[in-house]
Amino acid sequence: MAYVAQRIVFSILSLFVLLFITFLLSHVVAGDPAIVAAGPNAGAAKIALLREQMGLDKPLLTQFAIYCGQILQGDLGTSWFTRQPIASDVLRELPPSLELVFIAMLINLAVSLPLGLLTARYAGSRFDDLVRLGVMAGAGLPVFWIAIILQQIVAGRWQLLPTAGRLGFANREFSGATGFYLFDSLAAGNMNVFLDTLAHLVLPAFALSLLFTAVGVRITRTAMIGEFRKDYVTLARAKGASEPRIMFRHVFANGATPALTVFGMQFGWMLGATVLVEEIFGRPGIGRYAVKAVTQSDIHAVVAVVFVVGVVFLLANLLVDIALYVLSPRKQQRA
Amino acid sequence: MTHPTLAPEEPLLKVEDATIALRVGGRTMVSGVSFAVNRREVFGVVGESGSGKTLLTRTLFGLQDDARLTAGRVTFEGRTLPLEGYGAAVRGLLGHAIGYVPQDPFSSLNPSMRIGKQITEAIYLAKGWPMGAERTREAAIALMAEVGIPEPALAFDQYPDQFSGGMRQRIVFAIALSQEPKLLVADEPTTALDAITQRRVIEMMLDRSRRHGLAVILISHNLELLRQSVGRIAVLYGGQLLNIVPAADVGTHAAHPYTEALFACIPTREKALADIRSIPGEPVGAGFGTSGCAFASRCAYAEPVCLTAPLPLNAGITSGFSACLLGRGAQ
Repeated sequence: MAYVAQRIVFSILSLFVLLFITFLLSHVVAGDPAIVAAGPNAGAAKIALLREQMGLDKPLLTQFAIYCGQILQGDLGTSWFTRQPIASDVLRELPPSLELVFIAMLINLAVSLPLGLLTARYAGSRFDDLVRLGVMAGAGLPVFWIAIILQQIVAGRWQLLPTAGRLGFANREFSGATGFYLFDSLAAGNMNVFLDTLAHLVLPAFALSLLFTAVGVRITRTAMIGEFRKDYVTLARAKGASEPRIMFRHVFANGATPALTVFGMQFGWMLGATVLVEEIFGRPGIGRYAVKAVTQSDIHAVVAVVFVVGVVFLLANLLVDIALYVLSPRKQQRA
Repeated sequence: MTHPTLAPEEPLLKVEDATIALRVGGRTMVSGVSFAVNRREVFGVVGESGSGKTLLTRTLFGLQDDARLTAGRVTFEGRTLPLEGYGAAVRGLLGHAIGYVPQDPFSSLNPSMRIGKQITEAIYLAKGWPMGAERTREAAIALMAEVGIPEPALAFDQYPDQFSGGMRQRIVFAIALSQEPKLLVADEPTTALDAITQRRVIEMMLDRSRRHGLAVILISHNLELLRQSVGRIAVLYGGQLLNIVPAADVGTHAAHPYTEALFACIPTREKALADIRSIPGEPVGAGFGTSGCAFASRCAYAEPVCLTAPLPLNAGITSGFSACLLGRGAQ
């Protein structure tokens, strides 16, 4: 348990550091938000008034302290543009993005783990070369290009999947308590909406996952390849264990640890990379929201998005760490 | 295949003219090795690092991915294994007829699997059907007690890194023995262990061999260890089989010059310090081929013929054999 507590404390510390750095950066980099917020025709008096209202006249550290205090109360500040609490914006925009990332991650894992394991086992074979080629292609193609091609061909020409949006026109009235339509529709027993949501997720999730899957296959292969050279594999062969048994019962559990750590990080990276896919497929989400906030110099919104993505990133890593801790018998016994 | 009923004197394992080459590049590493191991016999294979002893045995028993048997004939229990698809054929014998103990006990157990599970898996794989959890567990615990694991019932649920090297090697033996093989191949099973633990593990293995009629091939670079443990010793050098000699004869009777030179390196109680001599020169690697004796360049007795003449092969698979071109050590 000491290990879990230590991981949690460490995560909170990382979060604080992250928050401070982004807060500082946005203050240093962005133009004067008061001028932007006041609009092009505002006079000096209006700008000064706004600056006071926004707390921009206070020292930087004070501003940061006030901001941290608000965050502890779940208040991410008020957008200078929409005049809405940012927390409610984030709660609205985050679920569609998380849903997208979740499905993309599933695709990633479903491809990376078996392919990584097989290429490690048959390293140097023609199969390995072929996968390597595919991985290079996957890693080399820009996400936006893949997204557009998929949209044009699979959705446009073949009409197999919807082109854009989160839900079809017939289901436009649907809403749920959590904002995760996959979950909400299941909870409501509405299979129609569930399948519609899923259909809208397939192409964007695939486009988003491609680059990450390419990395995932290589990471898994690297993690597994050393395991196959270890003597316990020789002993398992000498015991008469079949190749699938050696791969899944013996090698997988030992080689998965470093790979899973990377997958945990990928979850956070994906959330930060949703914008292109969301833009092309016309999906609401945290990525589009962030871009809008940046172009409008809406500093509190930018910092809030970075903060929330950071929280998700750290949470994903924390969960992976705890999962590995629980799954690893050796750590358990030492504690 | 020519033996409808197995004669009692028929050896358990017969290796005739085995030649082993690397898969990539096709370089021949071990040439023309012939020997036979009888039922219940404890047979030693000695050689320096790079002599090809591990490559030979790992390839013979289907555990070496990057090398293959290119020529020769291997017969186990009177059944000749096909050269084509040899690896698959011999792997079919692993896990029940043939057991194997790898070199390093620190890496030969799966670190994330409980000891008990690793033994019961072996029992299940050997039997081919589940025996029932409780009975398998009891069998595994009895076996752990037999190889000398203290508190085997407790050890059953523990993980490899909770055991010392010696205990781990006992567990590996328990895994191999649980499958009740007829032949146990142990590749330097004690090299990673200290001298006393080494002795104990070997004793345990020999005891098991005596009581269950298990044939053993013990591979080691340590001639003294083999001399004290096995019946006959095969001596490999440069990928050549130079000598097969009764262990008791080493140091007392004439043997192949290389065997004698190896023995001269070992300090024993009977020897004066001046009698301990190292072998001049550097050891050659495996892959010397069969023209000329691999040891000739370092041999005290070497004559010009030793460098070029074709090496005598153990064609008749006699129980004693010397490949010396000058006839030294021949019986």
